[in-house]
Amino acid sequence: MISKLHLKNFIAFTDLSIDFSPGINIVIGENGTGKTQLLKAILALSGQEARGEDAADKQLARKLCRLYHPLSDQVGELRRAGERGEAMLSATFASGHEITAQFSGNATVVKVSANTQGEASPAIFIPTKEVLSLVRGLTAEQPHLPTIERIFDDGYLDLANQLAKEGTSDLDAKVQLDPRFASIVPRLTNLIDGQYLLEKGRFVFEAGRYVEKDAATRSKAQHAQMYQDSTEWRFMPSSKQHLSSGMTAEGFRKIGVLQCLLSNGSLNPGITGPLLWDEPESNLNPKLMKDLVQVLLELARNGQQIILATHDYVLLKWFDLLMDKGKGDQVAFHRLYRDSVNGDIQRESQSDYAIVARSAISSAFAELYDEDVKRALGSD
Amino acid sequence: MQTYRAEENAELLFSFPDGLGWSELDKQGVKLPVQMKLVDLVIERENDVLLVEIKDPSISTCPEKERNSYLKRLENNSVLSQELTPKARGSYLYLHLMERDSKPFKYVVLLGLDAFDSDRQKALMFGFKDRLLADIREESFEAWKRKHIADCVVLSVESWNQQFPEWQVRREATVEAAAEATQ
Repeated sequence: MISKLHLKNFIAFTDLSIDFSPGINIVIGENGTGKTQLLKAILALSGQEARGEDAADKQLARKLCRLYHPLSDQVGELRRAGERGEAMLSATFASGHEITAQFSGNATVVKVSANTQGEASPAIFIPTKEVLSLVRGLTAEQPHLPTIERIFDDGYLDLANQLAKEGTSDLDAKVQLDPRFASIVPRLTNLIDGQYLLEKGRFVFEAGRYVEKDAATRSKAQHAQMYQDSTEWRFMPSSKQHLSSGMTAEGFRKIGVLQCLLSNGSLNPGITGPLLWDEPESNLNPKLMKDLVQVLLELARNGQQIILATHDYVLLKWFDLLMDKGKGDQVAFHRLYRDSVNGDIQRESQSDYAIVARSAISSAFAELYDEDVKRALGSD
Repeated sequence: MQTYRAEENAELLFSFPDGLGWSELDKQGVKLPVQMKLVDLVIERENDVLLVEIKDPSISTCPEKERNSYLKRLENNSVLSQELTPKARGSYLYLHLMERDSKPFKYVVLLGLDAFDSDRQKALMFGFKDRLLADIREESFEAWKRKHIADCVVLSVESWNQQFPEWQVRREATVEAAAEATQ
């Protein structure tokens, strides 16, 4: 769990620090205010590369290049031009672990300093485009990695590798055994009417729904007891034939990513590092948004730190409407914006949705509204 | 200058300049067609006719509980399908039968939502307008063939005043209502 990030002279950021909530963090801001860059910085600093004991300086430099793809392929290019001093990225984790990376404008490696206190679990990053179909390219018999790396940054490749991991993968058993999953997995599955499974190195879609276990198979006493404990869910396939994941909607595949990460244990609330999700709304039918927000809140209630970057008013509004302070929900809104005088990226954070009302997202709706009224009443 | 309130103890007070062609449709104390739901006001402009319906959940004498339940009904579409849409249809029919339908009708719903800040009001009203127009156009299993309402808008008090600077509306309790509220 990350508690603080500090970026100085790094890409879009002159000097930006941000304190994260242990629950849900929502980063908002117009295009070009560095939301994705911020998520990638967390990914880099919480990954294995930053902790490699011997060659962290080279490894982290490579990681940053693979994540941000600088033109010269040298990490020095990521230092913010026109500023004095070295670029600096620093992260503090809830365990007390701290890591700082610094480099100059012509550097090919970074200077890494870290205290040895505590451990930080690697973050999981879900980029804007879906990744399930990429897994097949990576797990092919002779994947051409240099080409793949040229096309996709490490945000995509890391996730594809996490998805390709063989895990217990019996989601049904997990739902039965772990009450945490009972509130999350059936909801995700029923949202897209099916589940994605890893078969022979590629993802396939199995149509079906979770239903409450047939009451007829239980005695009355058992039934009462069951209800007292928890509701028992069982996945019921609706067709024997599996579909290739490419034949399913891209929005469904995005939900599928979450399903598969939970299924193979890559995402284990309370244990895994922060879940970073860049624009969860992209390619998603707005109707699915409410359930997605409920799933994210449920993950957070089970100890999963989540950091989202979004442009979407509907998503934000659902967080505002569904968060339940009584259940301990902690949602922090972080707004990135450009200073009107020097153009530097600034941040303001609040636990209150009111911050959204001042953001570009809300004013875009206001502009639509004004234009709509103008057209209807013909007041040009 | 003439003033108008939708009901005797309504708080929203309109000021209309002399010469503006406006009339009350949902008149109090006169015989109206049975079961016909009508909007509060009709304002005739050069190129169109505005059907104006006033909904004011922010009225100060409205108990908090009632206001919240009204907002809930706004959210779950029941105000829309049970009140706003039938009023648009009823008013259209009434004006048609009165031979007052030579210009296109625009439906204007004035919502007293002063409790929200201006950008949030707009975001709420934006979605509401789309739903309202869709409901007006398609009330049954199939859409009306005739587009009896050319367009609609949902305005707050603030956006009404911006839109119609010459027809200002302000919140002002009647003397009786104010006296009642302080008792």
